[in-house]
Amino acid sequence: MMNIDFASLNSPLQKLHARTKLIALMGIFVLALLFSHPFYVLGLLVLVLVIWWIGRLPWNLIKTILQFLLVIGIIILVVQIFFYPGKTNLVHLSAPIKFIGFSGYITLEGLMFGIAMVLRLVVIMIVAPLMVMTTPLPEFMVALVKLKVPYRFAFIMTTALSLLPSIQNHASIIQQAQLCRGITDFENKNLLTKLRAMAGLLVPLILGTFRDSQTLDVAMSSRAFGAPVKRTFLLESRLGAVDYIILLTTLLLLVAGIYLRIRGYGSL
Amino acid sequence: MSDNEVIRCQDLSFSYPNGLEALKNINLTISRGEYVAFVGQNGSGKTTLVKHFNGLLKPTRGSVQVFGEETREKKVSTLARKVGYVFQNPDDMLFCSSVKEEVAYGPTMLGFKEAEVKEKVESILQELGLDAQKETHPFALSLGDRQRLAVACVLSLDPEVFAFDEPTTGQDYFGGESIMELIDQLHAKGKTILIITHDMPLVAEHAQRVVVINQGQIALEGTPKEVFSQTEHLHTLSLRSPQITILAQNLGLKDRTVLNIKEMVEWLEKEYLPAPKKVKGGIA
Repeated sequence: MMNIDFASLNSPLQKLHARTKLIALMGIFVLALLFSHPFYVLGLLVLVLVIWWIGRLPWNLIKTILQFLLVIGIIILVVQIFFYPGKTNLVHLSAPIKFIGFSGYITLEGLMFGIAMVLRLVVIMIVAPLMVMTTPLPEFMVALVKLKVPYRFAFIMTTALSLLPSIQNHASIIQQAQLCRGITDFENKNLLTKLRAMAGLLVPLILGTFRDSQTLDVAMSSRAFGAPVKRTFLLESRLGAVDYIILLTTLLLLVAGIYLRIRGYGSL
Repeated sequence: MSDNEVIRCQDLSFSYPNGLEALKNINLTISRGEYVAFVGQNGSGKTTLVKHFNGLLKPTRGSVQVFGEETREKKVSTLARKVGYVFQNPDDMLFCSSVKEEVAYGPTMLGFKEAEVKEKVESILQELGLDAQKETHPFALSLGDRQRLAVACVLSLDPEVFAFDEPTTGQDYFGGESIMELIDQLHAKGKTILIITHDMPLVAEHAQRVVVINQGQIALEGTPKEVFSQTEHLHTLSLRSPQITILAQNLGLKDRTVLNIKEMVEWLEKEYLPAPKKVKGGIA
């Protein structure tokens, strides 16, 4: 998780209304789930990368996300290759394994579907920072509430996001504290040893986070959270022309996407 | 580097990744067996400085040597055996399911034999008065005892130097006293003590040397008497001498600095009371 510095980011996406970004984000989610053909999902990925470029978000964040997705991506790819009932045989692997429906061949369709699924995951993961990194949390929450998301749910979502940097900070303090106890495993190159050391990190971290959330609960209650009256909002803003253009584009893309799918395009 | 030196900083500067320059050209030598207090307002850089002594932070420029070795080339876990660091919040250090296991963790990691570990744990718990609670879950202990346990965990690595980050913060009077007593005991055994604190009476009472950090630089350095005599200067650094010191200064004692009630009473008796009367209950 990167520390979000809104002021120095200077992204054109910051000028957009949070509601616009949220709707566009959901539009891209739907499109990503709509298509299962790698070329279509790749097209969507290119679109997201263009928005990333326009939004002047740091490219190394994409690198971090991809590193994070590496293992799960490989698992998805392998599973699809084995389980997708394809027709065009490419490589012979083994004798058929009947009970999982594996024909013994890596098929073109299985491979394509696997790639599409991985690309879909990448799209969904890299589209989120476009919203999260360019929207102050209070605006994000108001946008959720204005879109009729229940206030308590919106609050949970935004609080979770705002707690991430502080949890990350706490984790690094704990890690330092454990290094001071002579625990060498964080510095070990072996992944398994490193994972074992994580247990020592997680116990104080989780306990600490519970304690913090209890404090937050008391602090919120003492500031009238959940008072049985209709609340007002500090942030009230209207959509601008650019917002309408983006909303319209999202709508058009969605309609086009659904039309294509109905006509049988975009899937294997 | 002489045999007696344990830590030496030469032109140490440090910047955080966000560009904030937290330390500027620090030159400091700490000798074996010293009791040094690091004071300064919040954000002055005292914790950042002390974290350099066990390699948790590495200098951006300049050098830090611990027992003659550059920290830049050493791992924290290696340096932890020479410079122990007790964090402000003991809960960040504890993660095992009993007091006994907690103390045993470090030595086990370092490859001590089972019998040795057992003996070490027993003696440390006895020493710190935690032996009655050795089967207790660490988080069921009081804050004072958790702090002692954190010290026990560091003690189990048998370092030469102990650094304490605000050891009395959040403790009640007796909790604070008891942890300070423990630190004094370690010092009496010849350990080098470094302590980060905001508590000036504590510094006056325990430390032999005070290092005042301000905006990443050493602003003032000397014995508690030398430092606390400069009340005006300390005020410009957002610090305040102990009340008893200021009281003595306001009463007109100019030629020497009073650090505690005992010294104050001695001075008052000598100057104003020809026939001293003993106070019941004793004087501090």
